[in-house]
Amino acid sequence: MKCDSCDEKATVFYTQIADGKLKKFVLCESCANEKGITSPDGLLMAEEILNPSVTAGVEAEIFPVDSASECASCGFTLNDYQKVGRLGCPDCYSTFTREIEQRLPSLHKGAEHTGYVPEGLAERLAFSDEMSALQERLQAAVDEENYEEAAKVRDEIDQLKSQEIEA
Amino acid sequence: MMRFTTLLKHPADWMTGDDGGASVVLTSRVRLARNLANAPFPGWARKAQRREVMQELRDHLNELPPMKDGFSHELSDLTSLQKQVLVERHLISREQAARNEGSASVVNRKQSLSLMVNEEDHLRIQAIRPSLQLKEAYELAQKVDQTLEDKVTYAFHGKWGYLTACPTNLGTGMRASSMLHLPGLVLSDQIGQVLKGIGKMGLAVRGLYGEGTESLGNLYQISNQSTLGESEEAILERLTKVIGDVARYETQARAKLLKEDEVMVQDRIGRAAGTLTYARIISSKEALNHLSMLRLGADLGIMPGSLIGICDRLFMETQPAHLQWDAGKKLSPDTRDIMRAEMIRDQLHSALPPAIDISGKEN
Repeated sequence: MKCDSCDEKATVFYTQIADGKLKKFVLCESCANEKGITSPDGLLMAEEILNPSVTAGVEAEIFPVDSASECASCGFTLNDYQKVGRLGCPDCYSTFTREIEQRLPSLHKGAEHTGYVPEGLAERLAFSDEMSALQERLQAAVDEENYEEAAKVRDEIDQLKSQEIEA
Repeated sequence: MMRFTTLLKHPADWMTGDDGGASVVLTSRVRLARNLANAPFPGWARKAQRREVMQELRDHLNELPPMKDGFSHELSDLTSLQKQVLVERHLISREQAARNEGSASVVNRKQSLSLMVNEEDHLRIQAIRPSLQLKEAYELAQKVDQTLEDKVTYAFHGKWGYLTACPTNLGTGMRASSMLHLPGLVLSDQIGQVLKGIGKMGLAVRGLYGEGTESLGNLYQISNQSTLGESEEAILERLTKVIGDVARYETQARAKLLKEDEVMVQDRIGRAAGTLTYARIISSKEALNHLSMLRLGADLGIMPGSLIGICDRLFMETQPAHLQWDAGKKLSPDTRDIMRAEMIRDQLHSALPPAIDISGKEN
């Protein structure tokens, strides 16, 4: 995705809701710096950025909030998906998870992939599954104030991490 | 790099098998849909983004051992006739034929592997084998897939598997299909029932050229619908079983027809032979339907067995684009019908010579 202000690759995505309207900019790092978005005071600068004289050359799209569900990576909208039945990019699957999930039962036998997993990715996925399970256990232990269990789980997490680094 | 002309000089390796095993199931195809993780899908990407993806993929694809000395062209470098020929050979899809810049076709020498870059997805890996060999076709495609997965980052989701432009391909991204010749089931009026049964099993049936095409020449494609929730092996096993069953019903229907309706069957086959050996003008549809009957005759032992292979080749070579490619120029539909009749007579001559020459040239 290109910066709205120049032709560089956009890395900063900016969204503001004002008066029931959604305003979006995508900017590259240097343009964002220039407009002060990436500075800690960035949020305070919002009004200034949304002022046309500051954002000269930036074409912001404005649409009502309720119909705007747009993929941050590629700009594909929910409307587009409903019209063509296809998606804009792999990240759209995260953006429109709910809509896609609703459609899956009419398309497929199951809701989860049980087939081939690319080599290397299998280990990475197993690692993240195990890690999130451990983190859940840790959180539960902390919630229950079971610190003995929490310490044990933390050790397990550390061990899993060191295994990952060795691998 | 292989030129289009060289590619077409040789028949595909899956077209030449005239063993008995292919008498009902002609070919098996498996295609895997794959996408790169960090790029918009072809239908949504801008031209520059499409070109970037194509460049990255093509560099890797051209280096794959099986693609060595193969065919690799951007769609914009091909004429519409050349694209149509590739569609008729099932080497690119109709959807890809509509694309130009930023889309590429990479085919190996044997035409058993066809890689489509920026069709609906960034990459579609297709493998074709003769007869009922879905597993073998899958293994061929998988080998390419596994080589590539070390070189590029695929869009893959822990829960949903391979992410594809259309959610209908989600999960394995695998569509497996076989082409079946089912004249026995058609002649005995059982085809509707069988197709309904296949539909109930969650499998799809299509005509000769895929989605939305009518069945010609009693040729049907059976494929899986669902790609998510089942492993590749499970899908292939189910499909192989159903296709095997259908092939068996077809064989039984043929035997039964021969026993109970022998004269009708002989009549249909005889009329087809007569038309094909003597016709001077024949449409694609009429040709396919008669070739189908001739092939049935060969399979039942009423006609010479060598006709099975000849008919299979003619199914493809009498298609409009193949005819025009063969003639070396664009032909009007009327001229095509004349050329088609001539090609059929030529190719059938060895197995089915006409009793008299009606052109009068030799008198």
